[in-house]
Amino acid sequence: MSQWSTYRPEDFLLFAPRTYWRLFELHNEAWWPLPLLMPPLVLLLLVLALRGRVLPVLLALALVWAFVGWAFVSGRYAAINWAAGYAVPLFALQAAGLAYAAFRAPHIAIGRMSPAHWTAGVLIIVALVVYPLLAPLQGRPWLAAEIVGLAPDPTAIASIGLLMLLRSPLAAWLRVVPSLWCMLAALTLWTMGSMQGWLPLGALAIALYAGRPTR
Amino acid sequence: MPLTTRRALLRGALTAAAVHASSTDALGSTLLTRQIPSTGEPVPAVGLGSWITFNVGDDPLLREECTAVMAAFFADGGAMIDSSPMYGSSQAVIGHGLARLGYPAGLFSAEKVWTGAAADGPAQVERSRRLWGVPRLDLVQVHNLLAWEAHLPRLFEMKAAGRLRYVGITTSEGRRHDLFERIMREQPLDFVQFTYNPVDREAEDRLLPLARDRGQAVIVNRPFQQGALTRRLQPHPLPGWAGELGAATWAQAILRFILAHPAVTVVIPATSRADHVRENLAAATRSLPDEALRRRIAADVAARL
Ligand SMILES: NC(=O)c1ccc[n+]([C@@H]2O[C@H](COP(=O)([O-])OP(=O)(O)OC[C@H]3O[C@@H](n4cnc5c(N)ncnc54)[C@H](OP(=O)(O)O)[C@@H]3O)[C@@H](O)[C@H]2O)c1
Repeated sequence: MSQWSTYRPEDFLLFAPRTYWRLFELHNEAWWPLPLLMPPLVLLLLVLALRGRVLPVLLALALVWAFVGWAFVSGRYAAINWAAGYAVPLFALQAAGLAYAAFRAPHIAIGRMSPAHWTAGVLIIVALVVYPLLAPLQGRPWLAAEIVGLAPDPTAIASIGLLMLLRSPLAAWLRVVPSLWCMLAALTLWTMGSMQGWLPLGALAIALYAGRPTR
Repeated sequence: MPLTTRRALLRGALTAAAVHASSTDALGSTLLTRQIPSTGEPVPAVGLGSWITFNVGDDPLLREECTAVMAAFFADGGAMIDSSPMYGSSQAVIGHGLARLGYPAGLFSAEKVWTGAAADGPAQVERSRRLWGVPRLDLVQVHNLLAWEAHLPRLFEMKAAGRLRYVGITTSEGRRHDLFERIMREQPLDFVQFTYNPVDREAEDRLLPLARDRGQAVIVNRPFQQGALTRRLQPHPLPGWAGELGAATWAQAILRFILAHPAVTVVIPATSRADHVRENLAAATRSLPDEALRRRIAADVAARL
């Protein structure tokens, strides 16, 4: 029998849930007033995307991924979870991929109105509206809210949504890293015993479904 | 509670702990100590773990709370703190606390080497030492036997050169006891660390008796199954033997059960609470349960899970 079978999910959790949730509080405090500015910015990106202005959307997303990877994942989260340090290159890769796609933006068309648009809309609303509410709803302070553009989970979910609006194989590839992050986030939250893990898991399922080969 | 009030409260706790420290020093500690067989050095029988509880990163408030736990620990005569490079920021948080407390003289540092790349071992030990901010680590253990064949000779060399004082190995929750036993037989270890409590008793069969035969000090980890035991026992009132045992809580009953095994040197519960650290240290007194009472404790704990 392999010794690995004697491990339980909690055995892989390095930190107390309280320590994890406080990361967002400290992060919002440190970057104030970005927590107030990021959600409107992402909303603006949605509007631009719907109007077919792909270049600013992708460029802004590239910056956001670089910022979240550097400031939160590397600058804060990795201190309590060395495994998160291994995800930092993923954020850099995603930022680079988005920047490259921005450069190729003329070739990326905005998709026709379809059910995928509605799904994308739901993901963006979850990231923008539901996520900030999770902290107060679960008895944590408002300041500990997970804000899109600052916290990785809502950022990944909103990115999947925005990228679903674009019709191009490149945009589909750009959903890979956010999907991977959603998987890691769901796993982490599950080991923490937090129901919140269902959100990134749901986003992952949607990303996979949207990414299925058609025809 | 606003941050500032909490900080003020913690500051109060730290000052109180410091005052308390001087008064216990004057009175002489009544804490049970055990001898390290390889040198005869006495060490207080309840130590402090740091897995999860001290991994708080750069969070100033949580760091302050950890410092308060350490302050209470030293104030009541505690000495051994156990950590590992695997425990995220715990080492840095311990270093922060030690600096804040002025490097308490009683400290016994128990660290680990945890890397599959054997050549990195000495550098990792050096990094750990710097994070603690101490001139020398007291004990370095091979964490979970990872690359033990490569690490042990290097650790023995470092010990011979005076760069650390003791060498050991660790495992937990009954993993790899066969290999663990073999290494205990073959290597001149000062310390061994594994899991032992009223529920997880595999160590009684071979490891504990062998440690005694070989003259190896035993550190007991996961006394409360990472809190699962204390949590599940909490709703149940303590049985009648609690008075006879001198235990006010289930946690103390468990610790006294563990300490009563003659091969056990130090038990290292982890906690994020100063009141729990005091409660745990208070369990280490000289009068410990006999075999009959130990059997009743184990049976009663098992019956309530
Ligand atoms: N392979 C290895 O080398 C290895 C493996 C495992 C552990 N270890 C070492 O052993 C140490 C101890 O093991 P552990 O941390 O896994 O688990 P543990 O000490 O069995 O349990 C820790 C938990 O018990 C609770 N607790 C502590 N004192 C209490 C009290 N008086 N009353 C009620 N609850 C209490 C703490 O909660 P509160 O914070 O609320 O007090 C904490 O969550 C570790 O920290 C680590 O240093 C080494």
